[in-house]
Amino acid sequence: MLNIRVKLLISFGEPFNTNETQLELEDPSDIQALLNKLCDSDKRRRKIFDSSGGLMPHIIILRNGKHITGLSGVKTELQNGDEVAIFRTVGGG
Amino acid sequence: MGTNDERGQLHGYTGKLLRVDLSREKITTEFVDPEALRTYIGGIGIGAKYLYEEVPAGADALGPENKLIFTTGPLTGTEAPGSGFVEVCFKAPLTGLWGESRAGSDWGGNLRKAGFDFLVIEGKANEPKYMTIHDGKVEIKSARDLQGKTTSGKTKLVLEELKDEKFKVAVIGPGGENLVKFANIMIESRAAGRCGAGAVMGSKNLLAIAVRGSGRVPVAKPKEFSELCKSTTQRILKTQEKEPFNWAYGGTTQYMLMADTLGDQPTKNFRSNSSGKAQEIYTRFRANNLIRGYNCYTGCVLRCGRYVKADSEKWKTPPHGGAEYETMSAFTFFVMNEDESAAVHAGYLCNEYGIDTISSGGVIAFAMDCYERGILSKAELDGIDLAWGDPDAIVAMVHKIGKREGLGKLMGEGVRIAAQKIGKDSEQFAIHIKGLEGAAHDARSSKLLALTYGTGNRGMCHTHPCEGLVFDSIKMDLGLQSFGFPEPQTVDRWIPEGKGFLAKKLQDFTIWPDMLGICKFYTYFGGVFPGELTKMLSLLTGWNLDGGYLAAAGERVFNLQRRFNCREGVRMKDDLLPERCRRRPEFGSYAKSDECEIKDNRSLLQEYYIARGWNKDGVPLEREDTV
Repeated sequence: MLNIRVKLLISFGEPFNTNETQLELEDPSDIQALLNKLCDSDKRRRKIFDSSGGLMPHIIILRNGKHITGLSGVKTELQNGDEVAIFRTVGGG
Repeated sequence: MGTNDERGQLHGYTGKLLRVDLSREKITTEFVDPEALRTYIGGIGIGAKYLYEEVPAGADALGPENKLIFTTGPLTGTEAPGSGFVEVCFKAPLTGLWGESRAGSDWGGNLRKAGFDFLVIEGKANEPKYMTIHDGKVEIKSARDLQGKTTSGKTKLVLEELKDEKFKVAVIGPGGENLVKFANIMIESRAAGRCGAGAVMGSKNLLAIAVRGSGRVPVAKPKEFSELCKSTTQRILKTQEKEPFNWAYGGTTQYMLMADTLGDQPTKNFRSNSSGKAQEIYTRFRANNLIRGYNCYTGCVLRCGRYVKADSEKWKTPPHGGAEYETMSAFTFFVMNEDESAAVHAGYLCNEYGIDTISSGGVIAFAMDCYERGILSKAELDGIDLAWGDPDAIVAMVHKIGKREGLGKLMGEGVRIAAQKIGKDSEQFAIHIKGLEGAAHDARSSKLLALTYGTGNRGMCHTHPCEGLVFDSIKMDLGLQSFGFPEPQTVDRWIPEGKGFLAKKLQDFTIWPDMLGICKFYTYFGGVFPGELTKMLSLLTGWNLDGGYLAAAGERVFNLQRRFNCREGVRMKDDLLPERCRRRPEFGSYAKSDECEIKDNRSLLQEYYIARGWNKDGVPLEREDTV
């Protein structure tokens, strides 16, 4: 099993009700598997995926501080102890 | 093109500049050459032109020869989205270089409706004064009753004396009167915060400027302009409804969560780029301090502002507009403070004293570093036990700086001068570029940010360099792919190669909001991109412009600011990041990452200078197309 720490900065409260969680996944698993497990309701899926099942354009995902777009996208393999951060774009000045 | 005295032919501008010589109390109105408007557009573009031409190299920033130039852009105060901005340009007392500051409000729109695009303040009044500008009528009045009052106190007194709540008032606080080098100008709860505009205003003995206007700026194609502005605003509102940017959760302040994870969170005076504390501090801030969001000017639909308060007995703070991302970061992560209410209180005090929150936090973090190492003793700190994270000590320091008393005399000079005076190798803890204290972004999160931070014309600021971060780390394309930019998702934030060319192009485009007089959050979060802005400007002015023209204007203005700086001696040495900010973080989630280090700052800069067409030491070459 893989233990993955997930930081989730999509919204406060509904639909995820948390900003940080620990997920257990089969070994091997990738980002897609993690997102599938995380989005266990339609409401949650709609926050992350578009109607064709792709990631929404404003969703940013990092594995251990690296953008997954520079790795293998949602097919990026996970390792035990990884930290995955899922954001929607926001900036601060 | 219209001529400058044929008013009917100039659209999008009043075409007028108000010049006030406080030494002689001489008030004149000048017509601005329309060719200059087309060349520099407005805002900091026109500010750069006048400052370059009128403030000679070596001028004392706090002397009567410096000028304080309030500028608007052609879109300021119009129906255009984000149009509530005013820019202040001056030689900065903190850096001795190009200074600019901006604030969101209805002040700039009122200046235009009162008949002026630009206001140049020069000389020095022989006693404290304030100014009123009301539909073309300008008066200089005694400000004896305003002396020593807080910023909200001064605003209230001016409005009472004028018996007219419709005036918009820009004021300085005790910080500006006491010539704190990073004193700001406050307009209601918004600050033209950085570089020391408030000290320049204080040096001129000018304590407040109240404006009110009821006129209109002529529009070349009013129907089409209005339709485009309305449809753009509707589009933003629709996007917000469908997928809001969560401003209701605290506006910009919530970025601290993302900053912590991205390694964009300067912590303990830049010893690290992540705190690991953002989650808990922000959660408490939301529960204890955040009241609701608000807009800083009439008509804003993004509403990034927030009203906050503190109820705790110790840090009791009334509801006020404040506690934005930078302020909260400066008074928490910079100084290792975990008491969010103390941070809200410190930010509130800065606004009332009229001093910049970012520089204040930076100065206190620097002093904490010196105290920890025994470079400054408790006695030298006026008895303050300035240990990391101590909220009492932080608030005590804000009072000292605002009043410029005791240690506040030295710290009110900013970290660069303070370190030079303290000596004992304290300069390595003075985190600044060109004299401006580092903001709450960390160059170890992105090589593009390392460049935009280093080469930003006003120094290590929190606005212009942000585009580097927004593109490289947050992966927003800002509508620039049609101008030859790569898809940001394909760019690795830690790779240095190619970042020099990208930084140059980004700067030329993202300077537009400051020339047009609009809020740049509309480009980040409203999706108002260069193509649309160009169209708006064309309909407003009647000029038939394309995106390439505006990008060239952006480059021209950026280069002119750089020339101003080079005339004062700026070279490559002044574009380098402080050594600590290039090194691997001492702790935090990136402590083992060597990718985040900036190993060869000079090579990054060399590529950038080639892209800019500057020489190897960063001086613009005399090329006609960049002048």
